[in-house]
Amino acid sequence: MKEYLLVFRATEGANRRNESEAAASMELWKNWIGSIAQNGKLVGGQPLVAGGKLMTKGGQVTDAPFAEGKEVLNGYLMIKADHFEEAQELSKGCPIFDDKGGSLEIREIATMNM
Amino acid sequence: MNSESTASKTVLPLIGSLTRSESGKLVAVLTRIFGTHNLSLAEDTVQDVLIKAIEHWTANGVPDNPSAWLFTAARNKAIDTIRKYRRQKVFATDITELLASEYTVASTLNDCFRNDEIQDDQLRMMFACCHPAIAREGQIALIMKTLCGFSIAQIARAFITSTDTIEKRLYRARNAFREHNSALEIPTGDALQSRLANVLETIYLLFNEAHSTSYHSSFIRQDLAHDTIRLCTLLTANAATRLPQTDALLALLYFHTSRLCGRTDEHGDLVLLKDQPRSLWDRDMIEKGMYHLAKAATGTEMSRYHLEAAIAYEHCKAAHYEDTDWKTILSYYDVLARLMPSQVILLNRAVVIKELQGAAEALECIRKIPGIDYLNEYYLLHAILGELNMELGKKDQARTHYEKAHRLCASDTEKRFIRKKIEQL
Repeated sequence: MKEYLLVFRATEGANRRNESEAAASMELWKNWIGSIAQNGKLVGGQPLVAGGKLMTKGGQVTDAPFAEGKEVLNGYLMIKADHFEEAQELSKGCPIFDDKGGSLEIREIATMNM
Repeated sequence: MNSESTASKTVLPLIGSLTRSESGKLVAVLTRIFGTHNLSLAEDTVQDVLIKAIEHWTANGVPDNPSAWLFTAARNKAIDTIRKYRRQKVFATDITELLASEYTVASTLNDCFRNDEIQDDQLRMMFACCHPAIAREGQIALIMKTLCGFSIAQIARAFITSTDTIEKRLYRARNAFREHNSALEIPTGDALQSRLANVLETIYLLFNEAHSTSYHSSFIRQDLAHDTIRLCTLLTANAATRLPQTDALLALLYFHTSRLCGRTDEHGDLVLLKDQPRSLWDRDMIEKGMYHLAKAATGTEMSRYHLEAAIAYEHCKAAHYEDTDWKTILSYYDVLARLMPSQVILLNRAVVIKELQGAAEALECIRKIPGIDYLNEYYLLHAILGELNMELGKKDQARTHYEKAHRLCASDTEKRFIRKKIEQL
């Protein structure tokens, strides 16, 4: 069993919803993540607050270039899967695709052999 | 009115009654969320919520729906606790990953706090508290503490023992609870029957605690009787646990509880069945008992609860003591004695024999009970032997038995009752 990181991106600002839309969206995420958990394939993950800082060598900190209308990282999930195809299959119901500019990047967690 | 007196006049009594009516539900749902291994965390969380309610209501007034306020506060407190410990603790294993993620924690909690889920959680909690690996007295104490919201002091009073003893008993029971319940669940398949039998028996014993006059306070007795009815009603409302013996037990609880009011007079003195004003009996409860007794009359199994409910019904049915159908009652006792030939049942059967055939026959019956010596330290045996000997004019024997009964019984009510008998000799 391998572990995969699912990285969610959507257009900045697309997630500003009213209360009932937010509740409906929360329900969709719960159902999708719940179905992964039910198969014992969920490791964990969190949504991210919009905006952030970018730090470069030398400790220089700048506001990250999160301009309105640009696709930004807004959350991640870690899952277990036997192979890439399974991770892809599990990703299919993800509500990120309902968001404007929503996309999902699947990355396998590396094992470092020293 | 200053806030101190607001607290003592309105908030504290309200919290007291809400603790009894709602904290069992809160402990059940929080145990379902945090996991059976975190039972103490669930209980502590409920305590925190109740303390917060006292503070908040004293300062800001009591909300329109105090019960709903408690559930919202408990849900919010649960989220705080989960956020605080999600890196250190595992919660209920089937949802722990969902609780750890902000994507899912709020909606998962909302699901857990749905009314039907809370009902089922109480049922699941009952099964968990009645796990056969927990000592029987521990099961009862645990149910009283977690599901009925009694304080340790109240439980200690109910069992006529020290708070120390109850704390130790609960400590052991909680350990066994954690060790033997991997999750809150209603058993399925073959396990259901035997585990349900265990739950019914614990409710029955809990009720006996309520029904026995050992209580100092009739309030605890009434409360506890109504709690057992509430718990048993939950069992009859669930398809999996709604078996004929469940309805039979509920009928029995209703019949007995209907007569609780008449058992003591205005001075708190014990009133015997034959002297009770039957107008005091709760007709509504008797009708509910009849309803469940009728529902219990399906299937092929005749449980002890069927028979005991039928006997209790015969008493409820008789308009006057003289109308009691002792022959029918004896026939039920005969079946009951075959089903479970315990000394206590045979002793009660002997009381029926007295009504039908007289005191001499009853004494003979008691003499012949196998292993009657086992009841030698049971005050009711000696109270009955005192009564029978008195009827036969054997005053010396009557006195000996009454004195022994007086020494053995635990409650002041019973002591006063027997003292009066001795004085009348």
